[in-house]
Amino acid sequence: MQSPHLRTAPALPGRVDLDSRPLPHPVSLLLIAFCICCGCSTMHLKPTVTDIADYSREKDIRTYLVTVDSKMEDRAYQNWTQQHIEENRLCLENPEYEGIPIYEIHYHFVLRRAGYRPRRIAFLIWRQSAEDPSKMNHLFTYIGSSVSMQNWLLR
Amino acid sequence: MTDNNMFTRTLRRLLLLLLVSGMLSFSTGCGIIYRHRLESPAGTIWTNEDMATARVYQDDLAWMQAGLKDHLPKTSKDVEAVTILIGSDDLHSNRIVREQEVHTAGWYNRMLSMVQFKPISMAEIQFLSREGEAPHHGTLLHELTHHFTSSQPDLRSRWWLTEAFACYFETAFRAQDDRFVIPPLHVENYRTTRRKLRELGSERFSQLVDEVIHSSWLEFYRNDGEAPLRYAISWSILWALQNQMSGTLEHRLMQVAQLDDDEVSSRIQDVATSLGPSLSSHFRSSIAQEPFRRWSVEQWLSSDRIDGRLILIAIENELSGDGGEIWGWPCVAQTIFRWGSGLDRSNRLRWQRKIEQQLREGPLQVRLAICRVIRNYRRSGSLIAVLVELLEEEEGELRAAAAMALSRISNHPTIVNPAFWINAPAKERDREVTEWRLWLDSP
Repeated sequence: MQSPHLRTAPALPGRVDLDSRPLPHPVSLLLIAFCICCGCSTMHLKPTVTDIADYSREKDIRTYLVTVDSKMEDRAYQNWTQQHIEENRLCLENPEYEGIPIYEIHYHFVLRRAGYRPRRIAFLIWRQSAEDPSKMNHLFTYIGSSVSMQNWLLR
Repeated sequence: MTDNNMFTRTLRRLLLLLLVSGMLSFSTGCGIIYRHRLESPAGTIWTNEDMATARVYQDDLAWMQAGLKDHLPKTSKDVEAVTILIGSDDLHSNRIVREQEVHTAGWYNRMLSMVQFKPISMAEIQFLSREGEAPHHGTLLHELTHHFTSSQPDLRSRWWLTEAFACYFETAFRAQDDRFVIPPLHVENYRTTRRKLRELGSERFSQLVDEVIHSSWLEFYRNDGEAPLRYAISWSILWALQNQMSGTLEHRLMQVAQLDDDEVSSRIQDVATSLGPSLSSHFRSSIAQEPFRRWSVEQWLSSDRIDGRLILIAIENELSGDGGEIWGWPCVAQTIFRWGSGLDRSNRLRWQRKIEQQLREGPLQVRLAICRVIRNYRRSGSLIAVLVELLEEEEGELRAAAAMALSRISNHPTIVNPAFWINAPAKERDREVTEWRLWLDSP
Protein backbone atom coordinates (compact mmCIF):
# COMPACT_ATOMS: atom_id res chain seq x y z
CA MET A 1 0.00 0.00 0.00
CA GLN A 2 1.32 3.40 -0.97
CA SER A 3 1.65 6.29 1.39
CA PRO A 4 -0.92 9.08 0.69
CA HIS A 5 1.83 11.64 1.13
CA LEU A 6 3.54 10.59 -2.07
CA ARG A 7 0.42 11.22 -4.04
CA THR A 8 -0.39 14.57 -2.47
CA ALA A 9 3.12 15.95 -2.04
CA PRO A 10 4.23 18.11 -4.95
CA ALA A 11 7.12 16.83 -6.99
CA LEU A 12 10.27 18.81 -6.47
CA PRO A 13 11.59 20.48 -9.60
CA GLY A 14 14.42 18.60 -11.26
CA ARG A 15 13.56 15.30 -9.58
CA VAL A 16 11.65 12.38 -11.02
CA ASP A 17 8.48 11.30 -9.33
CA LEU A 18 8.69 7.49 -8.95
CA ASP A 19 5.01 7.00 -9.70
CA SER A 20 5.02 9.06 -12.82
CA ARG A 21 7.86 7.04 -14.47
CA PRO A 22 6.50 5.40 -17.67
CA LEU A 23 6.38 1.59 -17.81
CA PRO A 24 9.16 0.02 -19.89
CA HIS A 25 8.05 -1.00 -23.33
CA PRO A 26 7.66 -4.82 -23.81
CA VAL A 27 10.05 -4.71 -26.75
CA SER A 28 12.77 -3.11 -24.67
CA LEU A 29 12.15 -5.73 -21.96
CA LEU A 30 12.60 -8.47 -24.55
CA LEU A 31 15.76 -6.83 -25.80
CA ILE A 32 17.22 -6.70 -22.29
CA ALA A 33 16.34 -10.36 -21.69
CA PHE A 34 17.93 -11.33 -25.00
CA CYS A 35 21.13 -9.45 -24.13
CA ILE A 36 21.32 -11.14 -20.72
CA CYS A 37 20.85 -14.59 -22.27
CA CYS A 38 23.50 -14.00 -24.92
CA GLY A 39 25.86 -12.53 -22.36
CA CYS A 40 25.47 -15.46 -19.98
CA SER A 41 26.08 -18.11 -22.62
CA THR A 42 29.12 -16.19 -23.85
CA MET A 43 30.51 -15.91 -20.34
CA HIS A 44 29.71 -19.53 -19.40
CA LEU A 45 32.38 -21.22 -21.47
CA LYS A 46 32.39 -24.96 -22.00
CA PRO A 47 34.97 -26.96 -20.02
CA THR A 48 38.21 -27.44 -21.88
CA VAL A 49 40.54 -30.39 -21.59
CA THR A 50 43.96 -28.84 -21.08
CA ASP A 51 46.06 -31.98 -20.78
CA ILE A 52 45.87 -35.76 -21.19
CA ALA A 53 48.64 -37.70 -19.46
CA ASP A 54 49.18 -41.43 -19.88
CA TYR A 55 49.84 -43.11 -16.53
CA SER A 56 49.47 -46.70 -17.71
CA ARG A 57 51.45 -49.35 -15.87
CA GLU A 58 49.99 -52.68 -16.91
CA LYS A 59 50.12 -54.06 -20.40
CA ASP A 60 46.36 -54.28 -20.86
CA ILE A 61 45.10 -51.44 -18.66
CA ARG A 62 45.30 -47.87 -19.91
CA THR A 63 45.20 -45.13 -17.30
CA TYR A 64 44.72 -41.52 -18.32
CA LEU A 65 44.85 -38.40 -16.21
CA VAL A 66 42.69 -35.79 -17.91
CA THR A 67 43.07 -32.20 -16.75
CA VAL A 68 40.12 -29.84 -17.25
CA ASP A 69 39.68 -26.15 -16.50
CA SER A 70 36.12 -26.48 -15.18
CA LYS A 71 33.66 -29.19 -14.20
CA MET A 72 31.68 -30.98 -16.89
CA GLU A 73 28.06 -32.07 -16.79
CA ASP A 74 27.89 -35.52 -15.13
CA ARG A 75 27.02 -37.31 -18.37
CA ALA A 76 29.65 -35.40 -20.37
CA TYR A 77 32.53 -37.33 -18.81
CA GLN A 78 31.21 -40.52 -20.35
CA ASN A 79 30.68 -38.86 -23.71
CA TRP A 80 34.14 -37.34 -23.71
CA THR A 81 35.87 -40.62 -22.81
CA GLN A 82 33.84 -42.54 -25.37
CA GLN A 83 34.99 -40.11 -28.01
CA HIS A 84 38.58 -40.45 -26.80
CA ILE A 85 38.35 -44.25 -27.06
CA GLU A 86 36.90 -44.06 -30.55
CA GLU A 87 39.39 -41.47 -31.80
CA ASN A 88 42.34 -43.47 -30.51
CA ARG A 89 40.82 -46.81 -31.57
CA LEU A 90 41.49 -48.18 -28.08
CA CYS A 91 38.87 -50.90 -28.60
CA LEU A 92 40.93 -52.34 -31.40
CA GLU A 93 44.52 -51.34 -30.74
CA ASN A 94 46.81 -51.16 -27.77
CA PRO A 95 49.16 -48.24 -28.46
CA GLU A 96 51.99 -49.63 -26.33
CA TYR A 97 51.67 -53.40 -26.45
CA GLU A 98 50.83 -54.57 -29.91
CA GLY A 99 48.69 -57.70 -30.00
CA ILE A 100 47.53 -57.43 -26.37
CA PRO A 101 43.92 -56.25 -26.28
CA ILE A 102 43.09 -53.57 -23.75
CA TYR A 103 41.13 -54.99 -20.82
CA GLU A 104 40.28 -51.79 -18.95
CA ILE A 105 40.61 -48.05 -19.47
CA HIS A 106 40.65 -45.81 -16.41
CA TYR A 107 40.10 -42.08 -16.68
CA HIS A 108 40.90 -39.77 -13.78
CA PHE A 109 39.61 -36.23 -14.30
CA VAL A 110 41.49 -33.51 -12.49
CA LEU A 111 40.25 -29.95 -12.16
CA ARG A 112 43.05 -27.41 -12.39
CA ARG A 113 42.26 -23.70 -12.02
CA ALA A 114 44.52 -20.74 -11.39
CA GLY A 115 44.75 -20.00 -7.69
CA TYR A 116 43.39 -23.40 -6.63
CA ARG A 117 45.05 -26.71 -5.87
CA PRO A 118 44.35 -29.40 -8.49
CA ARG A 119 41.47 -31.63 -7.42
CA ARG A 120 40.26 -35.00 -8.67
CA ILE A 121 36.65 -34.63 -9.72
CA ALA A 122 35.66 -37.76 -11.61
CA PHE A 123 36.76 -41.30 -12.30
CA LEU A 124 35.50 -43.61 -15.05
CA ILE A 125 36.11 -47.21 -15.95
CA TRP A 126 35.56 -48.83 -19.30
CA ARG A 127 36.00 -52.59 -19.54
CA GLN A 128 36.31 -54.88 -22.53
CA SER A 129 32.99 -56.59 -23.27
CA ALA A 130 33.02 -60.31 -22.46
CA GLU A 131 30.67 -61.01 -25.38
CA ASP A 132 32.36 -58.85 -27.97
CA PRO A 133 36.08 -58.18 -27.24
CA SER A 134 36.13 -55.39 -29.83
CA LYS A 135 33.74 -53.35 -27.66
CA MET A 136 34.27 -51.44 -24.44
CA ASN A 137 31.52 -51.20 -21.83
CA HIS A 138 31.20 -48.22 -19.52
CA LEU A 139 31.17 -49.66 -15.99
CA PHE A 140 30.49 -46.49 -14.06
CA THR A 141 31.32 -42.83 -13.64
CA TYR A 142 32.23 -41.73 -10.14
CA ILE A 143 31.70 -38.05 -9.44
CA GLY A 144 33.64 -36.84 -6.43
CA SER A 145 37.03 -36.88 -4.81
CA SER A 146 36.69 -38.61 -1.47
CA VAL A 147 37.78 -42.06 -2.63
CA SER A 148 41.54 -42.21 -2.39
CA MET A 149 43.67 -42.77 -5.47
CA GLN A 150 44.89 -45.99 -3.91
CA ASN A 151 41.37 -47.38 -3.93
CA TRP A 152 40.87 -46.28 -7.49
CA LEU A 153 43.86 -48.33 -8.53
CA LEU A 154 42.82 -51.48 -6.69
CA ARG A 155 41.85 -54.48 -8.69
CA MET B 1 -25.58 -28.51 0.96
CA THR B 2 -23.06 -25.68 1.23
CA ASP B 3 -20.29 -25.05 -1.27
CA ASN B 4 -17.78 -25.88 1.42
CA ASN B 5 -19.27 -29.33 2.02
CA MET B 6 -19.41 -30.01 -1.72
CA PHE B 7 -15.75 -29.10 -2.03
CA THR B 8 -14.74 -31.34 0.89
CA ARG B 9 -16.66 -34.30 -0.55
CA THR B 10 -15.13 -33.81 -3.99
CA LEU B 11 -11.67 -33.57 -2.48
CA ARG B 12 -12.23 -36.75 -0.48
CA ARG B 13 -13.42 -38.62 -3.57
CA LEU B 14 -10.43 -37.39 -5.52
CA LEU B 15 -8.02 -38.49 -2.80
CA LEU B 16 -9.70 -41.91 -2.57
CA LEU B 17 -9.50 -42.32 -6.33
CA LEU B 18 -5.83 -41.39 -6.28
CA LEU B 19 -5.15 -43.85 -3.47
CA VAL B 20 -6.98 -46.72 -5.17
CA SER B 21 -5.33 -46.07 -8.53
CA GLY B 22 -1.96 -45.76 -6.79
CA MET B 23 -2.40 -49.06 -4.98
CA LEU B 24 -3.63 -50.77 -8.17
CA SER B 25 -0.75 -49.57 -10.27
CA PHE B 26 1.65 -50.45 -7.45
CA SER B 27 0.44 -54.04 -7.16
CA THR B 28 0.36 -54.66 -10.89
CA GLY B 29 3.37 -52.42 -11.57
CA CYS B 30 5.75 -54.58 -9.53
CA GLY B 31 5.10 -57.47 -11.88
CA ILE B 32 5.84 -55.29 -14.89
CA ILE B 33 8.98 -53.64 -13.52
CA TYR B 34 10.50 -56.61 -11.73
CA ARG B 35 11.35 -59.99 -13.23
CA HIS B 36 11.23 -62.20 -10.14
CA ARG B 37 8.85 -62.51 -7.24
CA LEU B 38 9.93 -64.57 -4.26
CA GLU B 39 8.27 -65.20 -0.95
CA SER B 40 10.27 -64.84 2.24
CA PRO B 41 9.21 -64.95 5.90
CA ALA B 42 9.67 -61.17 6.00
CA GLY B 43 7.43 -60.59 2.96
CA THR B 44 7.37 -60.60 -0.82
CA ILE B 45 10.61 -59.83 -2.66
CA TRP B 46 10.52 -58.24 -6.12
CA THR B 47 13.83 -58.13 -7.93
CA ASN B 48 15.62 -57.90 -11.25
CA GLU B 49 18.73 -59.60 -9.99
CA ASP B 50 19.50 -63.05 -11.32
CA MET B 51 17.75 -65.93 -9.57
CA ALA B 52 20.84 -67.05 -7.63
CA THR B 53 21.31 -63.56 -6.13
CA ALA B 54 17.58 -63.31 -5.43
CA ARG B 55 17.77 -66.58 -3.49
CA VAL B 56 20.60 -65.12 -1.41
CA TYR B 57 18.34 -62.18 -0.51
CA GLN B 58 15.51 -64.58 0.28
CA ASP B 59 17.76 -66.53 2.62
CA ASP B 60 19.18 -63.37 4.19
CA LEU B 61 15.74 -61.93 4.81
CA ALA B 62 14.64 -65.12 6.55
CA TRP B 63 17.72 -64.84 8.78
CA MET B 64 17.09 -61.13 9.45
CA GLN B 65 13.44 -61.69 10.26
CA ALA B 66 14.31 -64.49 12.71
CA GLY B 67 17.07 -62.38 14.28
CA LEU B 68 14.89 -59.31 14.75
CA LYS B 69 12.07 -61.42 16.21
CA ASP B 70 14.54 -63.03 18.56
CA HIS B 71 15.96 -59.73 19.82
CA LEU B 72 12.73 -57.75 19.74
CA PRO B 73 10.11 -60.37 20.72
CA LYS B 74 7.49 -57.94 22.07
CA THR B 75 7.96 -55.27 19.41
CA SER B 76 7.78 -57.76 16.56
CA LYS B 77 4.67 -59.57 17.78
CA ASP B 78 2.20 -58.07 15.31
CA VAL B 79 4.55 -57.10 12.51
CA GLU B 80 2.94 -57.64 9.13
CA ALA B 81 4.59 -58.80 5.91
CA VAL B 82 6.55 -56.20 3.99
CA THR B 83 7.05 -55.65 0.27
CA ILE B 84 10.73 -55.58 -0.64
CA LEU B 85 11.85 -54.09 -3.93
CA ILE B 86 15.47 -54.88 -4.74
CA GLY B 87 17.42 -53.03 -7.41
CA SER B 88 16.29 -51.75 -10.76
CA ASP B 89 17.12 -52.31 -14.41
CA ASP B 90 19.86 -49.76 -14.81
CA LEU B 91 21.93 -50.76 -11.81
CA HIS B 92 24.85 -52.37 -13.52
CA SER B 93 25.50 -50.29 -16.57
CA ASN B 94 26.16 -46.67 -17.41
CA ARG B 95 25.92 -45.73 -13.79
CA ILE B 96 26.81 -42.33 -12.48
CA VAL B 97 27.78 -42.66 -8.85
CA ARG B 98 28.00 -39.46 -6.87
CA GLU B 99 30.33 -39.10 -3.91
CA GLN B 100 27.55 -39.44 -1.35
CA GLU B 101 25.96 -42.45 -3.07
CA VAL B 102 28.78 -44.97 -3.01
CA HIS B 103 27.07 -47.12 -0.44
CA THR B 104 23.93 -49.10 -0.94
CA ALA B 105 20.75 -47.10 -0.61
CA GLY B 106 17.47 -48.01 1.00
CA TRP B 107 14.13 -46.47 1.78
CA TYR B 108 11.24 -47.54 3.96
CA ASN B 109 7.69 -46.39 3.39
CA ARG B 110 5.53 -46.95 6.44
CA MET B 111 2.24 -46.22 4.66
CA LEU B 112 2.84 -48.89 2.03
CA SER B 113 4.86 -51.25 4.28
CA MET B 114 7.47 -51.23 1.59
CA VAL B 115 11.25 -51.46 1.61
CA GLN B 116 13.24 -50.38 -1.41
CA PHE B 117 16.84 -51.46 -1.59
CA LYS B 118 19.42 -50.59 -4.23
CA PRO B 119 22.53 -52.71 -4.10
CA ILE B 120 25.73 -51.44 -5.66
CA SER B 121 27.38 -53.37 -8.44
CA MET B 122 30.43 -55.53 -7.84
CA ALA B 123 32.56 -53.10 -9.86
CA GLU B 124 31.57 -50.25 -7.57
CA ILE B 125 32.21 -52.38 -4.47
CA GLN B 126 35.62 -53.30 -5.84
CA PHE B 127 36.70 -49.82 -6.82
CA LEU B 128 34.82 -47.42 -4.64
CA SER B 129 33.98 -48.98 -1.35
CA ARG B 130 36.22 -47.80 1.42
CA GLU B 131 35.61 -51.00 3.32
CA GLY B 132 37.57 -54.01 2.12
CA GLU B 133 34.48 -56.14 2.17
CA ALA B 134 31.46 -53.93 1.63
CA PRO B 135 28.48 -54.69 3.87
CA HIS B 136 26.10 -56.06 1.26
CA HIS B 137 22.90 -56.33 3.23
CA GLY B 138 23.36 -53.95 6.17
CA THR B 139 21.12 -51.41 4.45
CA LEU B 140 18.41 -54.01 3.91
CA LEU B 141 18.55 -54.91 7.60
CA HIS B 142 18.41 -51.20 8.47
CA GLU B 143 15.20 -50.78 6.47
CA LEU B 144 13.68 -53.98 7.81
CA THR B 145 14.31 -52.73 11.35
CA HIS B 146 12.31 -49.60 10.45
CA HIS B 147 9.45 -51.90 9.48
CA PHE B 148 9.71 -53.86 12.73
CA THR B 149 9.72 -50.74 14.90
CA SER B 150 7.33 -48.58 12.85
CA SER B 151 4.34 -49.27 15.09
CA GLN B 152 6.15 -48.29 18.29
CA PRO B 153 4.46 -45.14 19.63
CA ASP B 154 7.66 -44.07 21.43
CA LEU B 155 9.47 -43.85 18.11
CA ARG B 156 6.76 -41.95 16.27
CA SER B 157 7.99 -38.60 14.89
CA ARG B 158 11.27 -38.94 16.80
CA TRP B 159 13.58 -39.20 13.84
CA TRP B 160 16.83 -39.56 15.77
CA LEU B 161 15.37 -42.51 17.70
CA THR B 162 13.89 -44.12 14.59
CA GLU B 163 17.28 -44.05 12.87
CA ALA B 164 19.15 -45.00 16.04
CA PHE B 165 17.15 -48.25 16.28
CA ALA B 166 17.78 -49.05 12.61
CA CYS B 167 21.50 -48.29 12.96
CA TYR B 168 21.67 -50.40 16.09
CA PHE B 169 20.57 -53.53 14.24
CA GLU B 170 22.12 -52.89 10.81
CA THR B 171 25.55 -54.15 11.84
CA ALA B 172 24.27 -57.55 12.99
CA PHE B 173 26.28 -60.33 11.40
CA ARG B 174 25.74 -63.98 10.67
CA ALA B 175 27.84 -66.20 12.93
CA GLN B 176 29.19 -69.57 11.78
CA ASP B 177 26.20 -71.33 13.35
CA ASP B 178 23.78 -68.91 11.61
CA ARG B 179 23.16 -66.91 14.78
CA PHE B 180 22.12 -63.26 14.49
CA VAL B 181 24.86 -61.53 16.45
CA ILE B 182 24.81 -57.82 17.25
CA PRO B 183 28.38 -56.57 17.67
CA PRO B 184 29.41 -54.56 20.74
CA LEU B 185 29.42 -51.33 18.75
CA HIS B 186 28.80 -49.75 15.35
CA VAL B 187 32.41 -49.03 14.39
CA GLU B 188 31.73 -46.43 11.69
CA ASN B 189 29.22 -44.51 13.79
CA TYR B 190 31.39 -44.68 16.89
CA ARG B 191 34.39 -43.37 14.94
CA THR B 192 32.35 -40.56 13.32
CA THR B 193 30.79 -39.34 16.56
CA ARG B 194 34.02 -39.63 18.54
CA ARG B 195 35.88 -37.63 15.88
CA LYS B 196 33.21 -34.92 16.01
CA LEU B 197 33.41 -34.77 19.79
CA ARG B 198 37.16 -34.28 19.65
CA GLU B 199 36.80 -31.68 16.91
CA LEU B 200 34.09 -29.59 18.60
CA GLY B 201 34.87 -30.04 22.25
CA SER B 202 32.37 -31.05 24.89
CA GLU B 203 30.22 -27.91 24.94
CA ARG B 204 29.67 -27.46 21.22
CA PHE B 205 29.26 -31.22 20.80
CA SER B 206 26.46 -31.17 23.38
CA GLN B 207 24.72 -28.39 21.45
CA LEU B 208 24.96 -30.41 18.25
CA VAL B 209 23.56 -33.55 19.91
CA ASP B 210 20.74 -31.50 21.37
CA GLU B 211 19.92 -30.15 17.90
CA VAL B 212 19.81 -33.69 16.52
CA ILE B 213 17.49 -34.85 19.29
CA HIS B 214 15.05 -32.01 18.75
CA SER B 215 15.22 -31.79 14.96
CA SER B 216 12.09 -32.04 12.85
CA TRP B 217 11.78 -34.40 9.88
CA LEU B 218 12.98 -31.75 7.45
CA GLU B 219 15.91 -30.82 9.65
CA PHE B 220 16.98 -34.39 10.33
CA TYR B 221 16.83 -35.64 6.75
CA ARG B 222 17.97 -32.46 5.00
CA ASN B 223 20.42 -33.13 2.22
CA ASP B 224 23.33 -31.08 3.54
CA GLY B 225 25.99 -33.77 3.52
CA GLU B 226 25.75 -34.08 7.33
CA ALA B 227 23.01 -36.72 7.41
CA PRO B 228 25.50 -39.58 8.11
CA LEU B 229 26.75 -37.59 11.10
CA ARG B 230 23.20 -37.20 12.43
CA TYR B 231 22.67 -40.96 12.02
CA ALA B 232 25.96 -41.63 13.82
CA ILE B 233 25.07 -39.29 16.70
CA SER B 234 21.63 -40.89 16.99
CA TRP B 235 23.16 -44.35 17.22
CA SER B 236 25.68 -43.12 19.81
CA ILE B 237 22.93 -41.77 22.05
CA LEU B 238 20.95 -45.00 21.96
CA TRP B 239 24.06 -47.15 22.37
CA ALA B 240 25.41 -45.15 25.30
CA LEU B 241 22.10 -44.88 27.16
CA GLN B 242 21.04 -48.51 26.71
CA ASN B 243 24.39 -49.49 28.24
CA GLN B 244 23.19 -47.76 31.42
CA MET B 245 19.95 -49.76 31.52
CA SER B 246 19.42 -53.32 32.67
CA GLY B 247 17.46 -56.32 31.40
CA THR B 248 17.19 -57.85 27.95
CA LEU B 249 18.31 -55.88 24.90
CA GLU B 250 14.72 -55.09 23.96
CA HIS B 251 13.96 -53.94 27.49
CA ARG B 252 17.04 -51.71 27.57
CA LEU B 253 16.28 -50.18 24.19
CA MET B 254 12.66 -49.53 25.10
CA GLN B 255 13.70 -47.92 28.38
CA VAL B 256 15.69 -45.40 26.35
CA ALA B 257 12.77 -44.93 23.96
CA GLN B 258 10.50 -44.13 26.90
CA LEU B 259 12.67 -41.20 27.97
CA ASP B 260 11.33 -38.01 26.47
CA ASP B 261 13.63 -35.85 24.36
CA ASP B 262 14.39 -33.40 27.18
CA GLU B 263 15.39 -36.26 29.48
CA VAL B 264 17.66 -37.60 26.76
CA SER B 265 19.16 -34.12 26.35
CA SER B 266 19.94 -33.99 30.04
CA ARG B 267 22.08 -37.13 29.62
CA ILE B 268 24.25 -35.89 26.75
CA GLN B 269 27.27 -35.76 29.02
CA ASP B 270 26.93 -39.54 29.54
CA VAL B 271 27.01 -39.97 25.78
CA ALA B 272 30.19 -37.90 25.52
CA THR B 273 31.81 -39.86 28.34
CA SER B 274 30.99 -43.21 26.71
CA LEU B 275 32.82 -42.05 23.57
CA GLY B 276 36.06 -41.67 25.51
CA PRO B 277 37.78 -45.04 24.96
CA SER B 278 39.55 -45.57 21.65
CA LEU B 279 38.33 -48.12 19.14
CA SER B 280 41.50 -50.15 19.75
CA SER B 281 40.62 -50.51 23.40
CA HIS B 282 37.14 -51.75 22.45
CA PHE B 283 38.64 -54.29 20.03
CA ARG B 284 41.16 -55.36 22.64
CA SER B 285 38.33 -56.41 24.95
CA SER B 286 35.92 -57.81 22.34
CA ILE B 287 38.56 -59.94 20.59
CA ALA B 288 38.74 -62.12 23.68
CA GLN B 289 35.03 -62.96 23.48
CA GLU B 290 34.21 -65.90 21.24
CA PRO B 291 31.12 -64.56 19.42
CA PHE B 292 32.95 -61.34 18.52
CA ARG B 293 36.41 -62.72 17.77
CA ARG B 294 36.20 -62.80 13.95
CA TRP B 295 34.26 -59.56 13.91
CA SER B 296 36.91 -57.87 16.06
CA VAL B 297 39.75 -59.08 13.84
CA GLU B 298 38.02 -57.85 10.67
CA GLN B 299 37.14 -54.48 12.17
CA TRP B 300 40.55 -53.96 13.71
CA LEU B 301 42.25 -54.78 10.41
CA SER B 302 40.26 -52.05 8.71
CA SER B 303 41.54 -49.41 11.14
CA ASP B 304 44.89 -47.65 11.23
CA ARG B 305 46.36 -48.98 14.46
CA ILE B 306 46.45 -52.68 15.15
CA ASP B 307 47.96 -55.01 17.70
CA GLY B 308 49.30 -57.68 15.34
CA ARG B 309 50.28 -60.07 18.11
CA LEU B 310 46.79 -60.09 19.65
CA ILE B 311 45.15 -60.42 16.23
CA LEU B 312 47.32 -63.40 15.27
CA ILE B 313 46.50 -65.16 18.54
CA ALA B 314 42.79 -64.66 17.82
CA ILE B 315 43.15 -65.90 14.23
CA GLU B 316 45.09 -68.96 15.40
CA ASN B 317 42.17 -69.81 17.69
CA GLU B 318 39.76 -69.58 14.77
CA LEU B 319 41.77 -71.47 12.14
CA SER B 320 40.54 -74.89 13.24
CA GLY B 321 36.89 -73.77 13.44
CA ASP B 322 34.17 -73.94 10.81
CA GLY B 323 35.44 -72.15 7.67
CA GLY B 324 38.35 -70.96 9.78
CA GLU B 325 41.05 -71.47 7.15
CA ILE B 326 39.31 -69.58 4.34
CA TRP B 327 38.55 -66.77 6.77
CA GLY B 328 41.78 -66.84 8.77
CA TRP B 329 44.66 -67.07 6.28
CA PRO B 330 43.69 -63.91 4.36
CA CYS B 331 43.47 -62.13 7.73
CA VAL B 332 46.98 -63.32 8.56
CA ALA B 333 48.22 -61.90 5.24
CA GLN B 334 46.49 -58.57 5.97
CA THR B 335 48.13 -58.46 9.40
CA ILE B 336 51.73 -59.35 8.74
CA PHE B 337 52.49 -57.40 5.56
CA ARG B 338 51.05 -54.03 6.56
CA TRP B 339 52.70 -51.00 8.13
CA GLY B 340 52.77 -50.78 11.89
CA SER B 341 51.60 -54.28 12.71
CA GLY B 342 53.52 -54.13 15.98
CA LEU B 343 54.95 -57.61 15.30
CA ASP B 344 58.52 -58.51 16.09
CA ARG B 345 60.63 -59.72 13.17
CA SER B 346 60.84 -63.40 14.12
CA ASN B 347 57.08 -63.69 14.67
CA ARG B 348 56.38 -61.94 11.35
CA LEU B 349 58.78 -64.17 9.41
CA ARG B 350 57.29 -67.28 11.00
CA TRP B 351 53.82 -66.28 9.80
CA GLN B 352 55.16 -65.19 6.41
CA ARG B 353 56.54 -68.72 5.85
CA LYS B 354 53.12 -70.12 6.79
CA ILE B 355 51.43 -67.87 4.22
CA GLU B 356 53.91 -68.95 1.53
CA GLN B 357 53.23 -72.56 2.42
CA GLN B 358 49.46 -72.00 2.15
CA LEU B 359 49.90 -70.32 -1.24
CA ARG B 360 51.90 -73.31 -2.50
CA GLU B 361 50.11 -76.21 -0.87
CA GLY B 362 46.90 -75.00 0.76
CA PRO B 363 43.36 -75.76 -0.41
CA LEU B 364 42.35 -73.90 -3.58
CA GLN B 365 39.82 -71.67 -1.80
CA VAL B 366 42.43 -70.60 0.76
CA ARG B 367 44.97 -69.81 -1.96
CA LEU B 368 42.39 -67.77 -3.86
CA ALA B 369 41.34 -65.93 -0.72
CA ILE B 370 44.92 -64.97 0.14
CA CYS B 371 45.61 -63.75 -3.42
CA ARG B 372 42.50 -61.55 -3.32
CA VAL B 373 43.47 -59.66 -0.17
CA ILE B 374 47.12 -58.99 -0.89
CA ARG B 375 47.54 -55.26 -1.23
CA ASN B 376 50.43 -52.97 -1.82
CA TYR B 377 51.52 -53.25 1.79
CA ARG B 378 55.00 -52.41 2.99
CA ARG B 379 56.22 -56.00 2.99
CA SER B 380 53.99 -57.80 0.49
CA GLY B 381 56.75 -57.56 -2.14
CA SER B 382 58.29 -60.60 -0.47
CA LEU B 383 55.45 -62.69 -1.94
CA ILE B 384 56.18 -61.87 -5.59
CA ALA B 385 58.26 -65.02 -6.19
CA VAL B 386 55.51 -67.30 -4.82
CA LEU B 387 52.83 -65.49 -6.82
CA VAL B 388 54.85 -65.93 -10.02
CA GLU B 389 54.91 -69.66 -9.29
CA LEU B 390 51.11 -69.59 -9.09
CA LEU B 391 50.93 -68.21 -12.66
CA GLU B 392 51.80 -71.73 -13.80
CA GLU B 393 49.22 -73.55 -11.67
CA GLU B 394 46.64 -75.83 -13.26
CA GLU B 395 43.64 -73.89 -11.97
CA GLY B 396 42.92 -70.94 -14.29
CA GLU B 397 41.10 -69.02 -11.58
CA LEU B 398 44.15 -69.22 -9.34
CA ARG B 399 46.43 -68.01 -12.15
CA ALA B 400 44.10 -65.05 -12.70
CA ALA B 401 43.96 -64.19 -8.98
CA ALA B 402 47.77 -64.37 -8.75
CA ALA B 403 48.16 -62.05 -11.77
CA MET B 404 45.80 -59.53 -10.16
CA ALA B 405 47.75 -59.69 -6.91
CA LEU B 406 51.02 -59.21 -8.79
CA SER B 407 49.62 -56.16 -10.56
CA ARG B 408 48.79 -54.63 -7.17
CA ILE B 409 52.11 -55.22 -5.46
CA SER B 410 54.66 -54.98 -8.25
CA ASN B 411 55.65 -52.27 -10.70
CA HIS B 412 56.52 -54.80 -13.37
CA PRO B 413 53.92 -54.54 -16.16
CA THR B 414 51.80 -57.62 -16.75
CA ILE B 415 48.55 -58.75 -18.33
CA VAL B 416 45.70 -58.39 -15.84
CA ASN B 417 42.72 -59.63 -17.86
CA PRO B 418 41.45 -62.74 -16.03
CA ALA B 419 40.23 -64.21 -19.34
CA PHE B 420 43.84 -64.33 -20.56
CA TRP B 421 45.06 -66.25 -17.52
CA ILE B 422 42.10 -68.62 -17.58
CA ASN B 423 41.70 -69.31 -21.30
CA ALA B 424 44.80 -68.25 -23.26
CA PRO B 425 46.95 -71.03 -24.75
CA ALA B 426 49.78 -72.23 -22.46
CA LYS B 427 52.35 -70.94 -24.94
CA GLU B 428 51.14 -67.34 -24.63
CA ARG B 429 50.95 -67.57 -20.85
CA ASP B 430 54.44 -69.06 -20.70
CA ARG B 431 55.76 -65.96 -22.47
CA GLU B 432 54.43 -63.79 -19.65
CA VAL B 433 55.76 -66.10 -16.94
CA THR B 434 59.21 -66.10 -18.58
CA GLU B 435 59.16 -62.30 -18.50
CA TRP B 436 58.34 -62.38 -14.79
CA ARG B 437 61.16 -64.82 -14.10
CA LEU B 438 63.66 -62.71 -16.04
CA TRP B 439 62.52 -59.67 -14.09
CA LEU B 440 62.92 -61.56 -10.78
CA ASP B 441 66.42 -62.69 -11.72
CA SER B 442 67.52 -59.27 -12.88
CA PRO B 443 69.71 -57.35 -10.39
